Amino acid sequence: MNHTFETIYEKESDAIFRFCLVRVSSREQSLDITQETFLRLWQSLKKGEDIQNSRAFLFTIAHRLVIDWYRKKKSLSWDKIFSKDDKEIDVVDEKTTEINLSTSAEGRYLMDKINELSPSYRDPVYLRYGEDLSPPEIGEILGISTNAASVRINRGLEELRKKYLSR
Amino acid sequence: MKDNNLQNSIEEIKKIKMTALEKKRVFEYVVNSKISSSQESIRSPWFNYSFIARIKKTRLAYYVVVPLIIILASGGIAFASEDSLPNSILYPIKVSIVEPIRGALTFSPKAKAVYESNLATKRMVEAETLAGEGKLNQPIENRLNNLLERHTASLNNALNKVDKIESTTGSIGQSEDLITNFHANMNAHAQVLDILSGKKEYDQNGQYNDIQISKTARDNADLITNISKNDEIKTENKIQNKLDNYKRRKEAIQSLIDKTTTELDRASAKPSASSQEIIESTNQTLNRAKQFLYDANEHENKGDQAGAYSTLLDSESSVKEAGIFLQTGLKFGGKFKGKWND
Repeated sequence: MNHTFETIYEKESDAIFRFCLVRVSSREQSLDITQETFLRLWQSLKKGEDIQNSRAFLFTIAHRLVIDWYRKKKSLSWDKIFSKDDKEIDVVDEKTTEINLSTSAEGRYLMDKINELSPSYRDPVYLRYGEDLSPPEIGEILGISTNAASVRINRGLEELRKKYLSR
Repeated sequence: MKDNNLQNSIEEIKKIKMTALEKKRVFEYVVNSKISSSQESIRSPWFNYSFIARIKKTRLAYYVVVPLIIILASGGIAFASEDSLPNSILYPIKVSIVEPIRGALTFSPKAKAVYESNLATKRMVEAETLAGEGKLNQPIENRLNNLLERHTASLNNALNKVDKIESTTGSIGQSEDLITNFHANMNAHAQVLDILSGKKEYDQNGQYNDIQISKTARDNADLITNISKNDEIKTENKIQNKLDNYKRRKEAIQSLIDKTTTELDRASAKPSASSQEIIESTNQTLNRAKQFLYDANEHENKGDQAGAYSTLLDSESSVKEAGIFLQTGLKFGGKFKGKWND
């Protein structure tokens, strides 16, 4: 089991990290979510669960953890707004770009534009072109049909082109 | 993807990776984590002795336990529907499922006749209960009416079979007991229902018009009785057999009259505004029973054996009706809306 996990980890850890980073735009947070994602995989393997597609499994877990992270962050933001604390309010939303990337400006710009896409298009587009996942795999991860995934990919790409080329 | 700039940007994103240190740190954390072991549930020391554990060990038990649970749950619903009234959501279960099933499980014609007669009485009691609460509306009346017709038809079928058995075996009396009981119950409860519902209407001729269910009950009672009497006329042998039973039945009716009179006297000792009309009406019915008994004796003295026996049955029916009306009327006493003869 250790060997299986190690193999999967070597193959997928960067992709999961990258996926989280595009979404949360914070390296530390991305590392935390990546760690939690693989911890879930480790526990499932230890229980003897039969995981047919480890890639889809990991992206599904990561996707849900990112959503949970946003929910916690937003509720925390509202608490800060309504508190009498004099500290500076840090309103976090999905477009916060606290990016600490060792990548080119072009890459960072594209990530910004992906994050500006409609929520239903953002993940399908990234998973398709950023991680080379197939529409069936994307459908499985996001809990939608293969057809729906294909439609969102195409529409998302059109929208991304407009945004990217509008500069 | 045609745009080279967009493609290049995507390639840039794909270069994003964890550092070697970050990757090692995450890996070691996961494989050395103690969270996974602590999340295993601790089995109770009593697990091996628990019923659920035994079920889990034997898959075949599912084929026994699950049907058993379904049966018990169904029994619970059936039990809960037992006392339901026509305005309850469980009532359809009672009249469409529970009662027909029970009826199907009664095998002898006599048992079926008793069962259907009791069901007819039950419908009247349900009507009385709702009328006492002011909840007896037209749709419910219609429903109860239809059920009453159904029970009467089933009773008639069963009585025919009882009659045939009696003709074959030579034994008599069972069908007559059933008929007089049904007649008494229908008339007594119809009378109570009329008073409880407060619906008293008189036509142009001064004749009283009772409510629909009461009318159906009385009509059905007469129908069953008349069918039986018509059959008696056709069968001479049956009449001869009944004459042998005449004395026994006469003594039983006299005993019943005495008993009902005692109960009436007891109720009369502590009269109230509501019980007074019950006592008066019971007294009238009891007097009717006594008159029938006297008339039966007159027929017997004249040698009209068939007439004597028929009138004797009328007496029996009337005294039973008086007893049932007294008992039921006193139970609903506080809910009577007005006097009988206003």
